Amino acid sequence: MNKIFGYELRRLLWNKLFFGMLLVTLGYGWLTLTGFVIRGIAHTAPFSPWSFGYYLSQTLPLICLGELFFLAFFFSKEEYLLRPLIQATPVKQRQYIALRCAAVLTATTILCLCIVALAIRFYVSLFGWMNYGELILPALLTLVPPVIFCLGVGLMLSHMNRVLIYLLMAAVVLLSVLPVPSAASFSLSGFFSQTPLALDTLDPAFHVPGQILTSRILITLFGGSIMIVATNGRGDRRR
Amino acid sequence: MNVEICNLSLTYPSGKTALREINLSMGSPNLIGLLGPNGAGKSTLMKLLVAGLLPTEGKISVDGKPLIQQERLLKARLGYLPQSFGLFDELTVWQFLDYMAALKGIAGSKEAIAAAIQRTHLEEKQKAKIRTLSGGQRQRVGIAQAILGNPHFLIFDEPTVGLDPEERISFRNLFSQMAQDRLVLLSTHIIEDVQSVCNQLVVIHQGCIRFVGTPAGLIAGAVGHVGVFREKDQRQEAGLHITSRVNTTCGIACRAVAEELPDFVEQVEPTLEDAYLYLISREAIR
Repeated sequence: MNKIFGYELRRLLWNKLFFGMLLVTLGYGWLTLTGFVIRGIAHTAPFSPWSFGYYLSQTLPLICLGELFFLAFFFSKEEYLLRPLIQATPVKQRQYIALRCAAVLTATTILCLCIVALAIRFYVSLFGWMNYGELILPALLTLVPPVIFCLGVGLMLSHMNRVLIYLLMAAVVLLSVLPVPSAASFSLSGFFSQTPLALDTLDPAFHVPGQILTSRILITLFGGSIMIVATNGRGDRRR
Repeated sequence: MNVEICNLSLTYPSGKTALREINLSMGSPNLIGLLGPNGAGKSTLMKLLVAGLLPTEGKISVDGKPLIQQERLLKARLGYLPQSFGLFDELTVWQFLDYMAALKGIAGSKEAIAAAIQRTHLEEKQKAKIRTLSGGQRQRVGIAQAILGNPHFLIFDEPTVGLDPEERISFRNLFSQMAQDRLVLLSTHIIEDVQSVCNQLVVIHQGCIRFVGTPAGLIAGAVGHVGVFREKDQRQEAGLHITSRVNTTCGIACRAVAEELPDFVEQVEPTLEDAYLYLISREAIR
């Protein structure tokens, strides 16, 4: 199955879609870094976990869109025509779907790593800052739950009707711009830009309130559960 | 390999019955031709045989065991070419076959791919991206993935569509060779393909099997029901199923099949195509 995974990942990465998404996301990330983050978010240092988290929350919708485009690629009409050939092989369908999910997740992770690498390059070149360890928690908190959520829900919707995935893309954009309480926020941009202002210290240390942590764990668990359910679906044999 | 189909029926959720009470026994080595008009149920039967669909009634047994219980075992010994299929356009021919070999769990995939490429005459195109191939070449890639790893049971749904006459003959010969030690089921509209290679015929019409036997047996059933005449008046054609009309210097020469030939029609020896058309037209009248 490693060979299949390799081919699927290669099909995703060696693709105009991936390069396009990468360019757009990096371009937007660079604008965010030079336009907002450079001044520091909520009176914190530009390289503080708060500012870095804000930067990630701004690029998150594009990362999720990229992930959903990768998923849409696997559920395109052309891929649908290939299903009879795949279904006639002894490979278990759930195993095959799981493998493709892993490829989508890997491609999205690469997209995320490129975004993180851009920020690190920015911090190092401008501020000579190298305390990378501080960035791990905001990165995990911001990126992992939405990425898992989008993959699970996207997979489920793709099984129902591949057009629904485009509706999910619109929903992701809406969720990111709608003013919602931090705990229910999809991108956490409000959390990163407002929490330091509410604290009485200058450049406060990064900490995650229990409420935020719980909501992020719930989003991850929900996405993961949906993904497992969708992967175990045996497909529409009676189509 | 033996495949038994018992009282197989399939009704779609929409209520349309695609197949009804199909009974058929197939054993290797054999090359069985599946004939029938569009929408007769040929492709549906093939999808059921590859477990791509589940029957609403009846069962399929492979070597005495229900298909549903040994689906993966069957698929490990199966080569299938559906009527319409997609390919990964961004991969090369070799890469696509390598991908399919991995899915099929074929050991020694390099040799198997090389053999499939050689048998389908794709040597020059093995490094070409699939998106650059012509329709006929794509069809050959489809056939190559089906014969990959020498499966024991081969199912081809309209395999010669899009191929030029020379390629068609070449593939007919390939199917014939492969049927020497395995079971090959071939669905086609091209009677010529069936006539030249199949030793058994199954005719499906409106979801039911109308004939099972040899091509000679089908032809024998049409003796006395095929004739030719020169058309003088359009009304002459009433009750006749015209199978060909040829403009000649002496008028239009017609070939027709009918349950009872009128006096002005001269009886001739039926061909397999006549026999097939006679069977279908007779069933349609019934």
